[in-house]
Amino acid sequence: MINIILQTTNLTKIFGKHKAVDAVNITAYEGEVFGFLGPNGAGKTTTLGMTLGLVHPTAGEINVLGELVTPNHTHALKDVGALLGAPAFVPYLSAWDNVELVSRLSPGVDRKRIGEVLELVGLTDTARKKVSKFSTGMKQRVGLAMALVHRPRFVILDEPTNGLDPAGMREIRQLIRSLAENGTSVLLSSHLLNEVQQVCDRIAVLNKGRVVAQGRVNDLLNGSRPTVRVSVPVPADAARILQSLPGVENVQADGNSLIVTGVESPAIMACLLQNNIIPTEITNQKSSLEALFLDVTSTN
Amino acid sequence: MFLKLFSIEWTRLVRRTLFWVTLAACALFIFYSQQHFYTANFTELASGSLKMPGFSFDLANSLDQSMLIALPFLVIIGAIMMGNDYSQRTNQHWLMRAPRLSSLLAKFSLLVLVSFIIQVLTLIVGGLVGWYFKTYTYHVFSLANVNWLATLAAPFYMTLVTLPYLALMLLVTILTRSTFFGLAIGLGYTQFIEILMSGLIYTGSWLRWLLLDNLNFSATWLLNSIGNKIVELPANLLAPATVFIAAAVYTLIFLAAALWLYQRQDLGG
Repeated sequence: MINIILQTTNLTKIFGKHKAVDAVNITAYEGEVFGFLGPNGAGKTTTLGMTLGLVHPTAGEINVLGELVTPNHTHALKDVGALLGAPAFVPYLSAWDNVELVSRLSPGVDRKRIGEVLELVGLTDTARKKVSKFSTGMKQRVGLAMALVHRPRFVILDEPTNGLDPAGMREIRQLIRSLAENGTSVLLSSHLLNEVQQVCDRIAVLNKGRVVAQGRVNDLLNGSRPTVRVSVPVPADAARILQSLPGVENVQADGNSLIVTGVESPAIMACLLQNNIIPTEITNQKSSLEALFLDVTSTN
Repeated sequence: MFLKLFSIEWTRLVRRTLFWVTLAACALFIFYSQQHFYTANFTELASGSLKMPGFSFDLANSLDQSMLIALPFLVIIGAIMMGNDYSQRTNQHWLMRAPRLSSLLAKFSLLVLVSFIIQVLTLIVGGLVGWYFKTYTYHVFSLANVNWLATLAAPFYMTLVTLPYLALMLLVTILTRSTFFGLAIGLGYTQFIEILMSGLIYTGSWLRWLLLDNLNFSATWLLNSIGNKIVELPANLLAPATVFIAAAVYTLIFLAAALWLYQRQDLGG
């Protein structure tokens, strides 16, 4: 039986008159990498803040590792590591000292483990340097080390590749996968959809405080609407015609091409030929998380 | 968990330059203040026209003077300690794994410890300056008339004098979530408003119950016991025992309000 590592039930947060998180139900399972997506202001960080006992929910419940979590009851979070937003650290201390400081709150973390985790994030050579002198990417690595030092069962990472160069991003993606392979569950919040698609087993998409899609990445992609790219001599005329085709949900201009969602390519071809428009090229777009994301967030 | 949080706060504090600057400034201030007394009054003290004070004067006067400089530095340390947790967002590390009560008490306890360290330091510096001048300049050093029990007790009640201010600092910084406002309000109150208001205490009304001069005077009054002196207490001021109980009550009220606020705050990323 697969254990549930995180479950939120009707989780709601209202700031004044603004409902930032609206009855969110998400479930993440042990050993998986769970992606948490959403446009800016969708309520991702607020949801994660509530999950970490830092933000008071207006309504609903959060269960982490089988225990209820509230700002006044954070016992379950002893086995959770987190990097929430930009990394938080003491700037006048070194990377080693920052990791050591956080490790004091968890039993069984020794100097060897601190060295290991700094090596894991690639900071061995600069471990004794003040964090204030670090680049954004190196600060991000310190934040990761602070999240991982106590060997958590569940890690929450909010934009962990922010500020990293492409090689660094790939290293972190590999690190996330290796964490999951070694039994650590990961919740990855990211706006880099390609990154999420490469790393995550399951995802939830949040929009305007509500979950608009949730499930296995492959299942969601297979169930997404067909997207077809059509190149035509006069895109404006073709767009007008295709918008009236039954089933078409969206026609978007992209240079001399149109991106049509909602119907398969044969129907589009037939419609254009009926109207004496001969397409120069017509291709089915591969289902991507980006298309799914734009689809579910624009529909809602 | 409290001890772990206390050790974290201690490390954060002692690795700051501000902490060592505070100790150095307090020590230098007392050093200058005491040595100025002996050098500026050299002729009078040497001729006997000004009576040479006993060693108890060096101890008591150092502690009395220390409040002038210790309080603003304690306000600065308190505001920075609490405010940086908001600005650097480091509170998320502690509060994920520890109750907010423990976190707040760890910070308050550390401020109390710093206050105590400053009192002990000034007592030692003042004593050393007095010993040096009395021994090598005036050749009159004597430990007679020093009440050692009162000397030992003095840093404790001088620390107690600072508690309401420390608790108030935490409350203001939590309320504003800002080091800057914590500093501005804390320094503004202790260095300006309180001095303006202190005259009101002598009106004999309910204002007598404001701490203001009550605390300072009670501390000074008690410090006289180091030299076994008994000074008459002004009729308009409260008795020291009452003042210290009132100070403890004020401290508890400010701390309770700070905790109430802190526990209700949202501290997201």
